Amino acid sequence: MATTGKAGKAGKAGKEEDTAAHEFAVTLARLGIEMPPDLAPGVLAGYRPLRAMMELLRTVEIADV
Amino acid sequence: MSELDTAGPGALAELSVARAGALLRTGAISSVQLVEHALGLIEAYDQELHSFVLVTRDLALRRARQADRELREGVDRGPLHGIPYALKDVFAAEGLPTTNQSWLTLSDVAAQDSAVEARLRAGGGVLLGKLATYEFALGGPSADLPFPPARNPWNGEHIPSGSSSGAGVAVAAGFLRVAFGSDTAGSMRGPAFHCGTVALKPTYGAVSGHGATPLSHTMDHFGPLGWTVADTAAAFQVVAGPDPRDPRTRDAPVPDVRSGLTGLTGDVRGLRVAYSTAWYGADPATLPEITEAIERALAHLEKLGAIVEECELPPYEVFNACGRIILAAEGFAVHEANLRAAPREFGRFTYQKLMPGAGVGASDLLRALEVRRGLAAALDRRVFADHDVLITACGQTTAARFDDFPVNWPPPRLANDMQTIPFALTGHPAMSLPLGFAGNGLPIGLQLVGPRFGEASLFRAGTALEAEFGRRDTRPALTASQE
Repeated sequence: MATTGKAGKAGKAGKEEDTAAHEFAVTLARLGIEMPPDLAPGVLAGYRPLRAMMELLRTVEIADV
Repeated sequence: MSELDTAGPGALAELSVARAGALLRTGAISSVQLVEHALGLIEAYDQELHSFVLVTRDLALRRARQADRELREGVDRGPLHGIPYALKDVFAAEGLPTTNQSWLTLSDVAAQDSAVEARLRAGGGVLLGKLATYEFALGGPSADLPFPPARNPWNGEHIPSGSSSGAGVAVAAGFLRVAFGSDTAGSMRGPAFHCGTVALKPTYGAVSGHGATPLSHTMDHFGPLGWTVADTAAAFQVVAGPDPRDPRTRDAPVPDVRSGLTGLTGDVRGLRVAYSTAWYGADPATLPEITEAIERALAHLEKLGAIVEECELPPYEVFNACGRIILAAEGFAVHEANLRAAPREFGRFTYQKLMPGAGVGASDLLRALEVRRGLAAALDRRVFADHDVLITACGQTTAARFDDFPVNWPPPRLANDMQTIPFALTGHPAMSLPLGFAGNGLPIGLQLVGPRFGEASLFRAGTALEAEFGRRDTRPALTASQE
């Protein structure tokens, strides 16, 4: 069971990474920006947590902070 | 004259701004002597530390001679008259390059002074040069930029933190009593924390950013790093004030270091101090020595007569998310043209830190701005309605090692993380204050936060804590250049 759980978690994380990478690629295409391929891993590594932060702020109730 | 008679290396540099100012005014020392002494220290010791990217020897000596001449003639320009200082290389100074530690702006020579430099020049200060920064006040400790990264004077295998790296190093090393930097998420408080100096990120709008390279217009702050609280307060007094060229500035009272109203006496009786360990206390990543040092500081303030009370802060994660989103969006916008046209001209870390901002859409940015207003209001309501000062952690660990940084951004979390972004986000003034050293010999400290334009309360609490824990008589052991 534990193994299944880990695989499920890893699978979800991998899917989110793919979604973030796709989303960012679409954004860059829309903006007409080409990113040097060797610099892309670090950019995506920075975009993923930023994307999670944007999701977090969408759920924040300002009256509660 | 006794300070001169006992001069070993650094003896003149151990004169506080106030003491040096008093000796300058009696003629016991000259500004030229102070400047020559500082230049000698830089020449001897900075080849390993790399805190300066430009030393303006001739200009400094000219300004020192002018300062001496004016003081002899009875012209007194204020607390930094005749005192050496240096600028993070994001501030324009007429006739000098503003490199921003970037290949993109390496040859950009300023046609006029930034507001900070103009005030320092008018205040009789003596510019010694430009100080190392992370590229555009953002990148990281990188080897792919025009100048080598500055090194921590307490242990050269460790970073001094950034982005005002050179300012932290130069003040800690004793080259200068005061230097000036910028702070958008902690870029002054980080180097101060990791190098063992004081830094004041003033209230948003207290110091003009005209002529300083922007990173994030709504989060950029500009201010002093100093060896002591009093040095820092004197430097703040000179650069603070409204500026019609920067609409962010406000016309608010500036504490006068010579009036006795700044709280530099160490008397904290009746001072209302709030604290919260919520952001760092339960995090196993926090160095226990830091938690314990903050506890000792709070107990000391209480013993001296301050009223110390626990408060409740909004979650750190919300501050951090809000600040990172705004900084990312604004930073990308500031540098978008070059990111499109010349991506290879940026350092690797800088490019990788700026580009994610392309993914922040308008609705997410507006949401972050809305949450920011809520967070600032929550701090005012929960903390500063009833307190003069908030004490919290500044950093959670001592300075990272250079080899903690991989080829691609980001490094491991704590190699580059500080708990400074909340107050760059909300605009409340915040001071990084040294509290001695961890067992590994590297500096530790805490963060003092105040209500907007409440810098005097930070000076008041900071002076009392510095006297007990500041270890201002301890300097790093530097290695002289063999050349």
